[in-house]
Amino acid sequence: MLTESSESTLERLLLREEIEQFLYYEAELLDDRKFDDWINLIAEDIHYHMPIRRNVKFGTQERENTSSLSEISWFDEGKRTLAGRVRQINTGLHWCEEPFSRIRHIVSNVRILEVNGDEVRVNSSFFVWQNRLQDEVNLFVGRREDILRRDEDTQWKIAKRLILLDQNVLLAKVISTFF
Amino acid sequence: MSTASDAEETKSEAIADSAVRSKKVIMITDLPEGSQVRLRNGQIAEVTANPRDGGWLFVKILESDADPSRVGTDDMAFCVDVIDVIK
Amino acid sequence: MTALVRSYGDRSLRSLVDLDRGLVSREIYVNEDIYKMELEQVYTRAWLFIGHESQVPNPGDFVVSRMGEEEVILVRDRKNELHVFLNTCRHRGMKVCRYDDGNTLVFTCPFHGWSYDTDGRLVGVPYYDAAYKGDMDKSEWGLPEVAQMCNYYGSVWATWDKGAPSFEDYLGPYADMARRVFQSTDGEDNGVELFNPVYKWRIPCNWKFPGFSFDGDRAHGAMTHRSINVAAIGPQGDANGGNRSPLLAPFPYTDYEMTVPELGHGGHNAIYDQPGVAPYKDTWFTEPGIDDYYREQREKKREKYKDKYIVGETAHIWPNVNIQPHRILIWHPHSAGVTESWRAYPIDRMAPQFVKDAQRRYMMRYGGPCGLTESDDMENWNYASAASTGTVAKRFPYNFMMGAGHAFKDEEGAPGMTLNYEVAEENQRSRLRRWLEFMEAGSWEDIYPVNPVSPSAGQAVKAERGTV
Repeated sequence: MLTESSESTLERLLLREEIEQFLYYEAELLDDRKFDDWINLIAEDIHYHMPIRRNVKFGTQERENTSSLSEISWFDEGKRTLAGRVRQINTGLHWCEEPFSRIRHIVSNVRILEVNGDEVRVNSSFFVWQNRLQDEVNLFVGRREDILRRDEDTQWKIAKRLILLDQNVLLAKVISTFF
Repeated sequence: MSTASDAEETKSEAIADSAVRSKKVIMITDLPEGSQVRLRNGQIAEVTANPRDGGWLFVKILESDADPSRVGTDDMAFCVDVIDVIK
Repeated sequence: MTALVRSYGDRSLRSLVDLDRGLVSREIYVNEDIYKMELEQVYTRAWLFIGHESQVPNPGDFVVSRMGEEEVILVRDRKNELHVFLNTCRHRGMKVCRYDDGNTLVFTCPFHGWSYDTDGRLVGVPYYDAAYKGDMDKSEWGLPEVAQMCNYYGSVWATWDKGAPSFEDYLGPYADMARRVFQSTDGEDNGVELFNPVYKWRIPCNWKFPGFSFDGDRAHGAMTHRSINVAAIGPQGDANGGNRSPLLAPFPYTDYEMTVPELGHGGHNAIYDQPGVAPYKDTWFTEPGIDDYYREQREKKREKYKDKYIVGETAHIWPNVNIQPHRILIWHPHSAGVTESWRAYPIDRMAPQFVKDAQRRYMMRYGGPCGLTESDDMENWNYASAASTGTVAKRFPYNFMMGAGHAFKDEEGAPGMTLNYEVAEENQRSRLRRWLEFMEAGSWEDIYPVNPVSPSAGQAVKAERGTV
């Protein structure tokens, strides 16, 4: 829920519409393999983090997701490495994405949690389908916890992204897409 | 919504319960160290450690009328053998 | 079983592996029956990597691991002793531990409640007095424990076979190298800890694709990793053409494929032309302060090793583990066509946090299923495996001819080892040779002790340094 009492219902709905459209646009860029356009949506100071999800005992769920401070994650990086990934795919020689997989990002359950100046904290769920070569299929389902920042150039930039993938042992041989 | 299979389940659970003559379900998971419990065999025991596995308590026997030699010994108590929490 | 070991269909296993000619049938990489034999013949006998003592620092700490297809628990009991148990209740087989790691007083089965102490003893049996009436001796029903376990400078290894040689004998000439892998960068024993947790992911390929080719297949790099340099993931960033590996100081050495064919171990190793350790070369241009730490560490190590000739610093330990100073790679068989790959990252235990962080981030962007380098390996192993299952495909053997017949010995430079040119398939042929021996053996008595075998040339020749 929005906490600012001055925010009118209309403004709230318009913001939600704007955020949703931005997330759908981002997903479409990835699905259309417009990686250069996608990386342009990434803030210079982004923290892009996909922790590993542990099986832990009841009462110790705070240990479920690996920490970016000291532990190993699937992804735990900034824009420099993300941009390196884009350059690598764009060589046409990155064999795990050459030829390209067919990937579809379904984004749903968009919920704005907080507006703080020019930043918006927003959660969304994703369902990502990957079909590779003939019959290789990988499914990635989970939630993203984003901080989006207003930007003159691209309307919004992704300033922080926590990706909670709902898997323990990774069931795909690689993760060759972005979330 | 209750179904026929639910009823069957409940019935078989009841039979299982009666087989061990359980009167009530005591959730032992959160019993702290120092708690005192009454066991089915009449012993009174103090919880020395709780593995929080829902099944067992590590206990020290405080009273054992049937076998006084057990007093002071360490043991493990299974959940259905814990019939009351004294303190 | 014996009949199966001796022959597969109308052909013997030995006929599928012709190491003299470098021809290996695809059958041994794809056949379900052969795979099931491997689980018995290889994975219940060989010493396998379990984990590291740093994963379980305190009494009651545990972490799950694997031996072959099966899950085991590495646990430190309340008397501070390490154990490795099969994760299965002796009553009806349920997993007694379904957490990845943690700390516990007991492992209690969620099925009927049998409960095991951290030392494996069965300590809790519901209705024990009332129903068993003293007929069952609990001491006979503890968790199944490995036949032998070894804490090797902090790394933990185990085997299900009490007839296996000691771990150090199993390592043979690789014992010293394995020891150094678990040293910190200043050359101190037991100097590392593992980052938590380990990567675990499934690759649709037979375990031997990564297991037999890694650190024995330098020929793959130029093509498989064609795209990596543009990403500039190395610690030096864009410098040196964006190379993914750290910069190294020039130090007179020659790289070889190096192996112990009679044991199956091997790696890409260097023989240095002078004693000591190479000086440190600055490489962490992307992050301040890291070079200062590693340079200081290296100087301490150089002092310790100044009079000692060093051979290499990575080792593939037969059958399915590769150990290196900053990464441990394990390929668990999961099914004939699926490998569960595990990856653990050692780091200097005493390193400052910012060094640990930098090294950790480098390893994450380098390797594993999301690493920029290794994602392309997975694709190749996956579809090499898939394209080898066909009836017609299996008529065409794999070619392991690279460097066959050109191996040699250098007892002065690398005692006990067999060498070949730095790009060869000597290590892969060694692993296949040991594989065949394990698959045919009735017990460890048939495969250890071993007599030194001549390199595949058939005759050892003395190497002339640097001419290869």
